[in-house]
Amino acid sequence: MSRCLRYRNAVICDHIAAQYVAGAMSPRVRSRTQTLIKTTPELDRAIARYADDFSVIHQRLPEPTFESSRHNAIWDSIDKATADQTTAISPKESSAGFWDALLVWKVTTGMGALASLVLAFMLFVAVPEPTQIGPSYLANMSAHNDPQNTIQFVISAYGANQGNPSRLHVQWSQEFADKKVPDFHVWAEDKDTGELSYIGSKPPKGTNWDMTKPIWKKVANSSRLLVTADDQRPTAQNTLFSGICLQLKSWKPKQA
Amino acid sequence: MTDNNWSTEVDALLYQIQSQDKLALKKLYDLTAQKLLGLIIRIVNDRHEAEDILQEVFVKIWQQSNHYSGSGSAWGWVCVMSRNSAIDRLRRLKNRAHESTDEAPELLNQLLEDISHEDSFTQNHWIGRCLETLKPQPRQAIVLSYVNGYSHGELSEKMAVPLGTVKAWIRRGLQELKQCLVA
Repeated sequence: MSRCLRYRNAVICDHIAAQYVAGAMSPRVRSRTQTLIKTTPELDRAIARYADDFSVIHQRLPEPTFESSRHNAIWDSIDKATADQTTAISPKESSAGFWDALLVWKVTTGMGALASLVLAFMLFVAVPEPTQIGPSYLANMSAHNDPQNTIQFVISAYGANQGNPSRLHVQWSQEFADKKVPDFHVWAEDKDTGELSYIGSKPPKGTNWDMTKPIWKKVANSSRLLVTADDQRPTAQNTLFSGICLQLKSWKPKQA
Repeated sequence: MTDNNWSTEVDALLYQIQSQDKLALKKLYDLTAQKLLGLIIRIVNDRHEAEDILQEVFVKIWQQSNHYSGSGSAWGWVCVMSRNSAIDRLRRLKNRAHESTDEAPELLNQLLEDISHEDSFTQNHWIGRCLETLKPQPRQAIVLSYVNGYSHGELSEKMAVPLGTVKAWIRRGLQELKQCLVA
């Protein structure tokens, strides 16, 4: 079993999550686990489950006295520390930033040249794959606050194919068919940055909707889809459903 | 405010912080700082250090809120971050022996009793009932590890049992806890 798949095994995930949350890991193992969390949604969910189960303990233990003067003084320090991060950089930092940027461009140029060579090789040597018919991505959507994660509907993403644009398709579970939400809005959470991007609103008629190339890329790079009641950024109040995005096929930029 | 409302408010505030909403950070601080200070003090047993760690945790929340995936509750995520920060600080202070607050066993028993007799049947409260089903020593090892941040080695010394025994208690205890939670 590959390393990646091994960490997606439910039993292994569960064991790691329990040890991580119970604080039974050495710093090195904990650091490794934190890296794995970013790339393994199964582990992320397992840790979240344990963290939720255990965190109720801290909710109930007696709280220490916290004088308002100390409370306010610590907040002032937090306020200052977080404000400092958005203030203008000094000339010295600015200079360092220029050389750092130059280094980035050097690396980018090198990588670009390498990517061109690889692309040329693939164009001349690689054999085209057969046309894709099934979905490329799938997200099982459950109510946002449902601890059981009962799947109510599925959002499938299909890549562009034979002149047709890429599209999303919504399929409600038979069990929840009578609870369909007629209008909703979809957001994609970037798997690397966690940034939320607006995908669009479900068309009033039908269950399919077409995507532009930039929107397709956002879906392809997402770790999770969220469904909101309005077009405002997802919050605990307006988020109706959420679901982890599963990649079923390798992503190709030429799609869409 | 009920536990569920409180937890929902923490979730909502963290989502707002993801949009760099400073007012939401202040509200989250007002809402959770005292509980988090308690969590941290139980591990480092030093008020001054604990307040410093609390400040560090809120700066991390501001910087890393986008790492919160929404898989679990925001409170669970903040607790894990606070525990890790406290344990890291403790390990950096290598020359100081680990002297956690070690509240009396009666306090922990009271806690378990409070949680297990909750009227609410939300999943979070099953932890108390499940902890009660564990044998006393594994339960003590798990709670001391989680609440007071003891490492396996420190627990071995404190409970005067071999390291392997502590590891087995915690491993089996967590397995039983898991089976109970999903039952």
